[in-house]
Amino acid sequence: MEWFLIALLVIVVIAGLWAVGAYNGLVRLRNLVQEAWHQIDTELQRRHDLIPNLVETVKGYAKHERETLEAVTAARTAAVAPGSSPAEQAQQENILTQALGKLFALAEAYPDLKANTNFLQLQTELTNTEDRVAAGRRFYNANVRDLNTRVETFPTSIIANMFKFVKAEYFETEDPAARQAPNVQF
Amino acid sequence: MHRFSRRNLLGWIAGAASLVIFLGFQFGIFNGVWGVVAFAAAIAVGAWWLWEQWDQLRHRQRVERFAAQHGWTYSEVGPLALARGSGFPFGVGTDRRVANLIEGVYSDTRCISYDYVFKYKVADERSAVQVFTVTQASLPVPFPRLDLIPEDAGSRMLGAITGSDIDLESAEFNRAWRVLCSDRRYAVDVVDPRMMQLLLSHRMPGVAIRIEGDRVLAWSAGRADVADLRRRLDVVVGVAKRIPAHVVRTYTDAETRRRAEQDKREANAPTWAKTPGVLNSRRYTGIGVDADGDGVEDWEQRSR
Repeated sequence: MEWFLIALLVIVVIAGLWAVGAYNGLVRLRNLVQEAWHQIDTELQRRHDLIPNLVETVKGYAKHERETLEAVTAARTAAVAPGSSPAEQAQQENILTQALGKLFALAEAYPDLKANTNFLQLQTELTNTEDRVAAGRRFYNANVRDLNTRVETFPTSIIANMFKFVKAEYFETEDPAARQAPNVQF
Repeated sequence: MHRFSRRNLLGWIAGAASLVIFLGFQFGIFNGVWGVVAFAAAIAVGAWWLWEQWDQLRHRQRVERFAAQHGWTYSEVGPLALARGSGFPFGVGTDRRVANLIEGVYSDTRCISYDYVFKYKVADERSAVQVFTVTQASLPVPFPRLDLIPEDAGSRMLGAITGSDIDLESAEFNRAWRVLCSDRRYAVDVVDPRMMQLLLSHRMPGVAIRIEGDRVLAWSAGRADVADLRRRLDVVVGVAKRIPAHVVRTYTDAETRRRAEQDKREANAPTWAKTPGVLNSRRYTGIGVDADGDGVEDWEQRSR
């Protein structure tokens, strides 16, 4: 009887240690996902901050392209609105990317605009920011994948359900054209 | 000039012993089974030593020929500073040296390749010589260390490089390569889909890749065949060129800031420290010297 109790105690202790480890692992992953999201958010903020200046620069040369400029402004306003989930934010960013693509495409018809230093600089900054957003998205999705795998696989799923850990959403583009950074072809 | 090592000495001893035993048989001094055994053992050791010498000579000639064919320079011995690094196999063992060094430009990138040789202790007083083939391509700025170890590498290589394996989005890549880096974000940024594609299409059994400082290395145990050198160069130059542009920009900015701070520190350094020849004169210590004439000796100024 005594040996049985000792064995039971050992099993309980081991199970308890494992549970603590599993819980801490989930917390660590969840924090990684949040941190990765904040990094993307910083880059998205930078992208949003560049757009008003871009719109003003283009307006100076192409005032008649009101529809395109308004589409960019509206898409930016929607993307900047707080409270979106990663999936919703991804959708808003996709729409913004498409609007920016059309804006850069129409710049082809305005040689003076294409040669404008401010426009070129903004275009380069936007491209660089897009690269960092893409890199941030990969890192964020990698962390989400790890978290979701842990939450779903047995036996960690037991701890995840007990302590209300949920799967995170991926941040991904849907439109293949939107995978390309907006760029003017000279 | 060929180094005279303990191995060479062993060979000479084996050769001399063979001669003595042969003469012993000729003049009837040695006879019987043990004489034959001793003779056979001496012949075997001598033959092994001769094979080793011939193999090294052949390898050296092939490397020289490769250098001559591609307009590269060849040196039998290279500076040990080339083999700097923070992890295995660099900094391990004793009697470290760089041999069969070739330098040149490949696909617009400065590259070098060499044999890295060192001794390590196997048991008690015995040591063995280990050779690694290292091929390097230069990078424009320094990067943090990142190791890519093929899963088919020997257990010694896998065990020597420690760290958590970072899984990426390609299952095929994760099966083929182990990604080790202290900064997970940096590793994910560098090993993007294009890099994974390159590494999967240019796999060489047992050849590991390392990005460290201002170079990309491909390294493997043993003396690699010169015929594989072009493939190794393709890999290191390919990796160097496929580091994503935003990562290069990040570390270029960091390097620019570091140099600016260094220049600022140097600009603010005392005059005596910037004087040429200062290490050979008392000005280095500043004792008894008042270079700026303010009545305070230079060594005292540093402590004020």
